[in-house]
Amino acid sequence: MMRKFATYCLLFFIPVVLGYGIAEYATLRMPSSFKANVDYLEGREDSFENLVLGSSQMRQSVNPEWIQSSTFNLASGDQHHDTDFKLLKGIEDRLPALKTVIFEVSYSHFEIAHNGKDFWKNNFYLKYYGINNFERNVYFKDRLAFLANPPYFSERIVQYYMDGERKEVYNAQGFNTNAFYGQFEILGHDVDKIAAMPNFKINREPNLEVFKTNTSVYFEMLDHLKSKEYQVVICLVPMYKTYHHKKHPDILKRRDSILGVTLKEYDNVTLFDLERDTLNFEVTDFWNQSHLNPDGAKKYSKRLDSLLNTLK
Amino acid sequence: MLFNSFDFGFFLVIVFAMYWIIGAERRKSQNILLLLASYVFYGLWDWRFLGLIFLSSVVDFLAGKALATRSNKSARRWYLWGSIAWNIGVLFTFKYFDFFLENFRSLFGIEASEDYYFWNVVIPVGLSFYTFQTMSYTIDVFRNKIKPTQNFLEFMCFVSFFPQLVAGPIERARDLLPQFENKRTFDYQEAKEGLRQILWGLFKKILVADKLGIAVTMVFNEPEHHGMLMLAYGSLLFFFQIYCDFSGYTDIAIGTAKLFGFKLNRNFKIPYLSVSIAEFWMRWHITLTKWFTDYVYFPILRSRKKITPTLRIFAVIVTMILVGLWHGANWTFVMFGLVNGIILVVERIPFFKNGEVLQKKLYKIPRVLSFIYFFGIAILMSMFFRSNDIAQSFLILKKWFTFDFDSHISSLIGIKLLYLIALIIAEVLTKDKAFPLQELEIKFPKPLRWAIYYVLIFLIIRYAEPKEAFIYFQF
Repeated sequence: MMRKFATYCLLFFIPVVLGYGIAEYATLRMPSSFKANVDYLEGREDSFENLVLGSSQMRQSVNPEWIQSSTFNLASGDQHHDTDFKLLKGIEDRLPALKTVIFEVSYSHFEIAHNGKDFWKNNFYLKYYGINNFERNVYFKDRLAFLANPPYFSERIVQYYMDGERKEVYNAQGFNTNAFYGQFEILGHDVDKIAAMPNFKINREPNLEVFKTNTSVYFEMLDHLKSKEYQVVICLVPMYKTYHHKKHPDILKRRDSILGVTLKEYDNVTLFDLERDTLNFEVTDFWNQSHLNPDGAKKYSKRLDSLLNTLK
Repeated sequence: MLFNSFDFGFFLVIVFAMYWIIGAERRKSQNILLLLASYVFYGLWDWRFLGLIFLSSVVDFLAGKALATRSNKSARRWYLWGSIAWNIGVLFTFKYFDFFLENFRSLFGIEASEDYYFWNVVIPVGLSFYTFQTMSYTIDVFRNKIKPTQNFLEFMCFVSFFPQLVAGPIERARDLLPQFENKRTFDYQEAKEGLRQILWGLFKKILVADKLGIAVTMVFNEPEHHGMLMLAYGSLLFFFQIYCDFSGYTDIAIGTAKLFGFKLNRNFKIPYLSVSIAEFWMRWHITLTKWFTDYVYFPILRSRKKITPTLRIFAVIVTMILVGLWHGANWTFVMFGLVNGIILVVERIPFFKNGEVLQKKLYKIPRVLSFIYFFGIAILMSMFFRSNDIAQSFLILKKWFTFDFDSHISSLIGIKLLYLIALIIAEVLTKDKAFPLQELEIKFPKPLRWAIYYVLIFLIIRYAEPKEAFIYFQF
């Protein structure tokens, strides 16, 4: 009976494993910022002077193509300061020429919970950069791509293999130059329609507990950066004008107060604040209320480049 | 280690294979393996609390042995109360101390300062489940309902059996302990049923509970921004979320136990088909209801020579408040228990001609009316249960009476509501079975059965959110 059970289980699960194998293969075959980054990193590790960290806002704002000194953009969607810090510590020894670390402090960075050790992108940091963010021993399943976030990759597989027009196209520096299709493009960059959008993603929930934890990690990271004698650029990425109206005043006030303390206590930190720059960044430069598109990124990266030149 | 994780699947395959390779003839070795597996399973949550499970096992094992050897009534009482004091003490220390401290502080207007919170500890996972299980053993031995075990290994297995360790069902010693004492043989049909029940549990948890959870969180995170309908709808969805979450866990637990030749008690019987709240508690978390009935409700009634209506009301209210508090140290749970207690009392009042009580009348009125009655109360209970604090509960309660209607209610969960509808249809159509996939071979040929399994597995893998814990683990 036991043998019969084992045989049936084996027979039953073979198609499941095969199906999973197909999903894994399809996931890995799709272009991704991780893969593009690794291609860019390989063989050039000795040359990188700037390292960019942060979330999707930084990922979509900094195109290293427009920065003269060699820049590696390690930012990724939803990536918070705790993950930034772990990535920094995991990669800095491999970047001997590193001089400047660039990361973001968005309006609500201090009041959104950290990623923690269960962040689904940890599989990718491990698989592509060899950095263990799990805070434990790693196992085979920690390197599986599709399993990291099945709903997300299922949708991406359908989008990628069915919808050719919106494929991600990475340049040699690992930046997606085809990231135009977003909420604003759907609305034809029509200012009135954008202004009429009832909801968009913005954190309006003050959270003092999270604030306490996040600022502690933030200052720990700044201490580390100072001890390593890196220049630090803290970026406040441009936001579309309607975004500013929805900010929670307490969250904003606390963020600004932390930035004030930072500038006072860390002489290696420079603030690069284009958050409210409505002169240089027009509606056509935005992907949505809080992200730039590749045109906006070009402008932003050039401005960042000018700043980096002054820091040399 | 979550039941809905790759880690658990891997762990289960390894333990299952080793268990049956050892074979039914070597029962002691099988028990040692189960104990080790259970301690590894629990240690992966937090190894520091393994000592607590071990100590609980030692205390109640010794209490049981001492009770068996003493005939002196007063000495026996000392052993019983010693065991109860230990278990309640552990629960109080880890689960309720901060709650009582906080309320004591606010009652006497003592200012909070940083160093005042000297006992800010993590609640050990599954604490309320295993302490209740060990407590019931000692009480049953004291009442001479069972004989105490002389085998410490088997007793430790009973306390820490991994399928039901962290979220039940709360097993009685008379049901579970003999299973460790007797030979377990591999039963092909039971093993098949076990796998099916695990699959059904995963479906409930991943495709229904977790999806509903996203919508519920949206509502309860910002209740002030929603109107009456949305808040009521959010509470209703939470009722189904917690049902699917908890009963999904229980299905996986029971299914896993079946793979090892064990039978665990049924914990849910489609509670949303209840007509009255009294019936609801006979269908919802049945092992907890029975525990409180046997060890709290009846002892209160038996504490007086004459059972008066007032005593009955007192017993119901106290029992239900304790049921509420069992879920967590928060006034919302106290309110949840109190509301349930009051309704249970009301259902027993003879309102109608010829002395008929509401509880019976509900079965005679049109089903649609009893349906409205039950779900009205279910929404109220769920709201208290889900609210972050008592202030939020009252805010929502107030908003329910503003009659402020929301226009975008259908967008809260959207098409994913279909999973819940599919679940309800499947459960209602198979309501005489323990779970809808049970004995599937009677109606469906193998190709169709396998097709059903593959579809479910596909949906589970396709829609699994990363790392969603079970709600009842926190209790």
